[in-house]
Amino acid sequence: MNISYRDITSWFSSNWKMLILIELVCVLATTVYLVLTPRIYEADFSIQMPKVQKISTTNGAKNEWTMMISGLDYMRGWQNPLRFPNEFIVNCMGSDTNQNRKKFVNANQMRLQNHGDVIQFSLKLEGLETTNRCANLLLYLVWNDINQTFDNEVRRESEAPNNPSLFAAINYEKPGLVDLIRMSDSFIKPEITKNIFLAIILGLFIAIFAARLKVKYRA
Amino acid sequence: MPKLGLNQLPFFGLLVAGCILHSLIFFYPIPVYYLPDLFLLIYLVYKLPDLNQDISLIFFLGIALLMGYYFFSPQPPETEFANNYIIVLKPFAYICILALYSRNVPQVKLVYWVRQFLVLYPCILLWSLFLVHLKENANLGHLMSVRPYFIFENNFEITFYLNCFIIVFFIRKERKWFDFGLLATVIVLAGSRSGLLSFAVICIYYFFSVSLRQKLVTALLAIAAVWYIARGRNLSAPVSSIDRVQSLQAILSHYGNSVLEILKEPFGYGIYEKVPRYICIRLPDFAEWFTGNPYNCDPLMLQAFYTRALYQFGIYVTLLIPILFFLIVKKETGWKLAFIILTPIACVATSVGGFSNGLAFWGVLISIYAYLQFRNPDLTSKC
Repeated sequence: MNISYRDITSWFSSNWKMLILIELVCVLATTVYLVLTPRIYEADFSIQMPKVQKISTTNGAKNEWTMMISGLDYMRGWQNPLRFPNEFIVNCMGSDTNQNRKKFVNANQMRLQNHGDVIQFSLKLEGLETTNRCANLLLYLVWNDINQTFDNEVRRESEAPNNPSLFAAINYEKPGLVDLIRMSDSFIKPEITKNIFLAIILGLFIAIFAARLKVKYRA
Repeated sequence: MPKLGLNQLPFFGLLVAGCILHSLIFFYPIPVYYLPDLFLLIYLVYKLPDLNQDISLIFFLGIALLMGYYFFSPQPPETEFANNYIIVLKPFAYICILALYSRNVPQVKLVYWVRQFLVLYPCILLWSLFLVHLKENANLGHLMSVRPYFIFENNFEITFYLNCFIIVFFIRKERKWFDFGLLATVIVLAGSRSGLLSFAVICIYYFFSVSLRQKLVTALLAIAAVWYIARGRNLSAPVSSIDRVQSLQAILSHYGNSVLEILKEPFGYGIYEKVPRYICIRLPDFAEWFTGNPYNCDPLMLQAFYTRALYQFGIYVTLLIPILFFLIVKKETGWKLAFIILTPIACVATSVGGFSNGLAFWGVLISIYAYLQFRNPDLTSKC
């Protein structure tokens, strides 16, 4: 396919009316989409995972802190749609359906922070109020779950009979709230500039396609 | 002027201008990073009326990748700083430009300016070292570890310089020892490890295209360059202590050093995603160095193009970018020259931006133009 400056200028001079019309239609359609589409807000919070201090298995003279639960494994656990209690899904998503459970899991992104010992939860849902409410519910759920895991681990450690002192826990670090719930300043989706830009580019491609069709069928 | 012919006057004029320009940048640092892209933009606009060439599917593939990564990359949390994603998208823009402008040759006789630059650049590097000596009262040992430059970081300048050498030696086949000596001098003076890697590869091509005597000189010069840089840049240190290797190892460890895990992210994490924080803090000071903020873990902190692209674009697109460059250059120059022309940019991509750097891209573009001018001298006849 050959392209030249002359081709471009002659294309614009013969198709500028159609181009402007298609661009206007695309931008208008995008504006309608932007007005009608639900606003997605974001809520972030971070939790430090509990740790335990033991004598190093590689260097007996040294004590080392290890994670009580692997951050990665803990994150994977929350990707199971069936993990959430019924009341949680009802309170957050309105009704306890399989669709809503999957929707919630997809709306909740998790990342490892710091040295892999902090998990950041990032919840993206429709509406400011819903997102805030769901983030609070999720924080409560996760916080209780981690604390329960911590308590169980401490109890198991102290109740374990004949626990050789070499592997006994010396000290514990409780789970901690690193960042409280923080809402996005405004809605994060739809992105207005990007959508308008996409509409303009799409309009250009549609105009090129339409011009080719026009030439073909006129002939 | 008996010896100093009039032909040499422009050279000395350029040398003085170059030294003054470098002195200004040396004493009053000004942002120059986007200067090659600005010149590229000016060139594209200036040559738009001459646009007339066949474009292949590669052009549309470049546009599709550019649009795809810009519009459809997942967004990080709003609490994170935004990435400098324009730099990341540049390779796709360069692919489109190369596909669209590869035959839009300038009417200026490029080889004349290339020859001037080949001699000019080592002189300016020496001037740069002299300025360091003046400013810091540096002794010889200190000067050996200094990385002199003209306008930009010398990793990029050397890439461009290597392309200039390729134009003279491999494209125009002017096989002078002097030019190779200048190249070895520049590599030695610049002390760039990625420059040394490009030089080593160029030496292999050079080795097979010269006489036995020149082969011996090539080997000696290459060994001398390696010895000098090894002393200045501590090349005997373990490989894992090199910052680029550290960032590659960190990213590979994110995938559990497993090819399968890399393949599970076929299009990478996109251009807006940050480097995971636990990896970011494992690379001390890199984020602060590149973004000015230790909490802004922009993947640019990974430095090497291949490492960054593996994380942001995924394995397939990372491999596709050099291939697309190669296919476009091959179309104009043939595959042998295409290999040689792309060697500097492909080597420097192991260390810095490579395919996303404007000056390195200019090196490729000028090499193609010089080849076309050499094959068809009428292209410059209007001058």
